Amino acid sequence: MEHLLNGFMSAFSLAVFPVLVFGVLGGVILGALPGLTATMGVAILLPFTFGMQPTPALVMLIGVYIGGIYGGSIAAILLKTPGTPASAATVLDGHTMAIKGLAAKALSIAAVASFIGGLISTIVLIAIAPILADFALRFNAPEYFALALFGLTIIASVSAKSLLKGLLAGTIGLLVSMVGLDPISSVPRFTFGIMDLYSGINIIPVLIGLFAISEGLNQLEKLSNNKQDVAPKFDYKVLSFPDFKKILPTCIKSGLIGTSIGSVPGAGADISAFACYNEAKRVAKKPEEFGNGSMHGLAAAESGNNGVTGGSLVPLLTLGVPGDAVSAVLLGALIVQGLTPGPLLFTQNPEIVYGIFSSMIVANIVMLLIGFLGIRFFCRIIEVPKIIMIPIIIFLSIIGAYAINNSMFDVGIAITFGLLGFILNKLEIPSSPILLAIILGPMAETNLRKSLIMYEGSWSFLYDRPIALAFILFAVFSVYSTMKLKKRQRSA
Amino acid sequence: MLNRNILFPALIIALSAILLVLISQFPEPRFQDAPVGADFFPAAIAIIQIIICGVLIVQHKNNKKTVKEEPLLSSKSIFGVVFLIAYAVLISLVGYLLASLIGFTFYLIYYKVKKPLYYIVAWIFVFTIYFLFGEVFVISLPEGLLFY
Amino acid sequence: MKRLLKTALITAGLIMSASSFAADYPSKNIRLIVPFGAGGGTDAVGRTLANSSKDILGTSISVMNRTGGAGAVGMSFGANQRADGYTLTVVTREIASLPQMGLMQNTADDFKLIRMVNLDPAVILVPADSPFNTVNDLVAEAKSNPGKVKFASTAAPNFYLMALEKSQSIKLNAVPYNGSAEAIPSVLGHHTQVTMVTPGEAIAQLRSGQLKALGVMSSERISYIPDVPTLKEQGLDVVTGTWRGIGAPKDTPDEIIELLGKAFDQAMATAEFKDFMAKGAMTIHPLKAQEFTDFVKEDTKLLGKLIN
Repeated sequence: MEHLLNGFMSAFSLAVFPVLVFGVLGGVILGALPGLTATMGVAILLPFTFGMQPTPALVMLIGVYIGGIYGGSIAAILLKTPGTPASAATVLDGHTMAIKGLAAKALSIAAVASFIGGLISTIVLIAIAPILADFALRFNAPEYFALALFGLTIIASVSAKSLLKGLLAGTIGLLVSMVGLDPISSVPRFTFGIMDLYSGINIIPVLIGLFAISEGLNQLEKLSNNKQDVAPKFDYKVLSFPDFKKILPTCIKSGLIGTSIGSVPGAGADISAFACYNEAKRVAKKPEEFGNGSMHGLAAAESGNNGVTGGSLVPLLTLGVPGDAVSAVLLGALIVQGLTPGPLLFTQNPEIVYGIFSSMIVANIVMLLIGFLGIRFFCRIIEVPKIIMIPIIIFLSIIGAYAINNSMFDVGIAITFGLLGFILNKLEIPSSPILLAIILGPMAETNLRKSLIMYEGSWSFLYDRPIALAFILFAVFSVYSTMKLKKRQRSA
Repeated sequence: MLNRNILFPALIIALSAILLVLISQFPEPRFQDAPVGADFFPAAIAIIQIIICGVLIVQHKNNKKTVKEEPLLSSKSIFGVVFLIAYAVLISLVGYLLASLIGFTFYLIYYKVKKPLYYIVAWIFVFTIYFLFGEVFVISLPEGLLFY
Repeated sequence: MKRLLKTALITAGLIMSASSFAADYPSKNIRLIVPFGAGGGTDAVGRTLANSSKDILGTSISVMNRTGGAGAVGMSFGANQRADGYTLTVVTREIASLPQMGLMQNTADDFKLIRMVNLDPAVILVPADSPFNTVNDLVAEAKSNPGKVKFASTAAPNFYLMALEKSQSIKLNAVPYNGSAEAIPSVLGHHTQVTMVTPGEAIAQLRSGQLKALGVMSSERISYIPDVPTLKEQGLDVVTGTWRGIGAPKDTPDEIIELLGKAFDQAMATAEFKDFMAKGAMTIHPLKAQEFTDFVKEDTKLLGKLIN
């Protein structure tokens, strides 16, 4: 506790607070731009931290991380262009709310939900990091397979109109995810000898294509239908207190789910956002609102993805292994500072650990403030005439697709998927299952095959490992409850 | 009558069939023997996909409701696709800055935009991104084959 | 327009005479292609070296990540750039292995190698409470139970493991993970029994005692883990590890290669760079252009024996 208080003192000190604000603000901007991710932000900033003191260095990087995950929601809500896969679930309800004229409310829900998710995650990290670490260590190939299988069942719940069409999108995504060298046996699959395809199709250009570019094309088409440029109506009304009370349980629950998923290495904000969305829909009183601008859906996705931030530091701080790409950079930053990540850090450098903890809390508060102060400014984006906004979205998409890997090949991927997304839209086939399948498909396949190698061909891992079994049961239950829901909707 | 709700699943079925042929030609792994090979899942999913598409076609045939459809690709969306591809090609030739200035200006002229303010906004946007990426984020933008 | 003119002049100059062009080198920013993602070990080494050499060269080096195909995409991209010294590439051991596996068209011959930067051996690691205490314990177990010892492999195929397996005629059950970040937790959680990574990748677990090192696969002990015996000391003649260096497209003028080589020598001797490498438990191994080229040839042959 004393350490934590000292941590707060240092978080507000002149050496730390400005870099913290800079980090969060920079992260929000990066996250809002398509193709630029929190990972890129921290990697680029890493060499600049070499000359800094350990605490401000880490605080700045963590600020970028927290800001970056939140920043994705702004573009997702206002422009239907999620900056990162983690904010793809935000589009489902966030953008629908914005279309209904509730942009300011949606943005404020996103800010509050992200804040609550991030805060809960940090508190859980401070309180029970070692317990979470033990949980994370129990995860291996069979558990990852079961988690991915459970994740894939979410396809059913994000397939709004036709389950079959959602499943078709899912199989398309699964096949796309199999392009490249098979990670188990190094056999090239569907690569046609093109080296750019050996490591598979990068998810960011696919995301940009499916959501941002297809939306640009969609808007361009509508432009021709009504010549008049009518600015959409909306008010600046933000989240009311009764509404806040309504979404609070969703936020807390999603924050906790996000923390658990984040603490498992290799499972991140994208999976968490969709899993929380799924769970919120499952328990909702009016599940039919989901996808049509549900506050709960938006809140779940946002607190779910920010809930990962604290969780992903669990393996880093307790085991010395990175939980995701961002914490891999943080690991490097710690090592460069001459610190040893892992359990030794708590005993040797508690001031660093608690400096990180307290500045995470402060960074979440800064994020909330930026989110709220920015609402009026962000809303202005909607008022920009479509005729000028469309090319801006398209240009940003192309540049973003290029920037993620400095590759014109990825630009081609983005355009291809843009066209695919546009056509699928016309056929009323949802795009999110493609994304989910690309994220989870390789995880399911490689881990199943890895498990079979570990168990020398036996399938017993499906029932003799409790966590794996639990996730498989979740998966069955998830399919069952979605079916029940669909049936109820049909009969209603 | 052939419409998109039959044509698209039919197309996917054809593609899946081609994939199945490709899968049968996967080379043998050299370094790792696994109980389930590299070809199992792609094949399984391609087959499931064919089944889904088949059901979709049957479903559509049974569904007598005829909905009046807008054309799949309007002239405006075709312009959009051509514009996208042209912009990407232009970037790879002359780099981000020139391509974006030309592209944006052309777009505004194409839509017969007369307000000078729009042109200025467009150019400011292009330069802002150039500055933001190059100077603030230190991320290299495409330079173009002709100039690098 | 000005830029166009400038580029045209530079190009014309390049065509007329490479050496006169080299005289005012470097006159603009240099790009360093990193064939792995931002945030990884290769990226960090590349960025730090770029940072340390910018004052020496008097121009900044911007890092460009070009990932894919386990490094094949970035290295091939780098090999096929204009040979004017303004595009350099971080070359890694994959340049020696991938072409022989048919996974990359370009080879080390498509580069003029400038300097080796680091050479790190593999360390054999087991959980702290593992019954194995020496490499011989492990080999004995693998001999009595062929294909049963679960090995967390950082890549498929894994050349560290193949080197050990070949020299001892043993077979382990290699479970392919995606890099050390997955392999280490797998051993920590007792899902697998042993792994091999470089000292830098496991320094946190080695210092905290969560993992136990059975042996290091270098010819001499490593200063960061002085208590860990080499395999040679334990009677096994296996030396393997990984390396990184800097290369330029093969037609780059020798004057430029020499100039860059001297600059990198200085950069690798800066306190900043040495400090970065020491903290990350990486061993700087600044081989000169010729020695580096010979080393890569030798390593390519060695890998060829394992692959075929």
